[in-house]
Amino acid sequence: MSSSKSFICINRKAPYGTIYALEALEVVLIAGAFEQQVTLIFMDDGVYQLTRNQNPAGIGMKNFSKTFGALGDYDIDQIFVDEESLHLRGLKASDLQLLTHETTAGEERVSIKVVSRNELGDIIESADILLNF
Amino acid sequence: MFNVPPSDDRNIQQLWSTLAEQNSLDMVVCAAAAQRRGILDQKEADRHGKPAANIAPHFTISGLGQLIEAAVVSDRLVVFGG
Repeated sequence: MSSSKSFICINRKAPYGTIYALEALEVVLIAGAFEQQVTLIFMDDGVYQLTRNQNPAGIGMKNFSKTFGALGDYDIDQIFVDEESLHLRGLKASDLQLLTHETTAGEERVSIKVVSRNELGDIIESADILLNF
Repeated sequence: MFNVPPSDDRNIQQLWSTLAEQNSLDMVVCAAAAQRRGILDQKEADRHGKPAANIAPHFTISGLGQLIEAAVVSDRLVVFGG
């Protein structure tokens, strides 16, 4: 693709129960494969998508959260999580997966950042394209 | 295209097909999403051994790359849905 724009994908839904979380990830991976600049936001029930130790075998789904580990390879390394959404659900940052990416200098950095609603507003305003799932 | 809303209700799929026909619009459906929901064009139906195609007129099946490309070349992307 000749040009690129900045995409933000906002995830508000739980990982299982509806298909939207999985389909959002499919869109994000394609955008990454097309070398677009992608930022992810997880809020409301979307924060559950990033929790560790998911085991959906009982409902016949595969644990697709493992795919989040590959995001760094697509240069998707700006992942913001809404602090209030975590707090309301009794979750802490340590309940979330450790997602990392490698900088151009070869250092490993954490991709997830827990931010406030105000900061999210600024982040959202900075994007060209908003996808909302 | 096999939806049959009550006669006193609007037929949304029909409205979309008419809108596209009258305005020469592209209406693109993601292949993976369509398959999950049981919506197939003739090619997909043949490929998966299904007895019939059921995608409404003026809708076409394609890949997510088209969504990304459309977003990049357009002035504005508007997203609906909860």
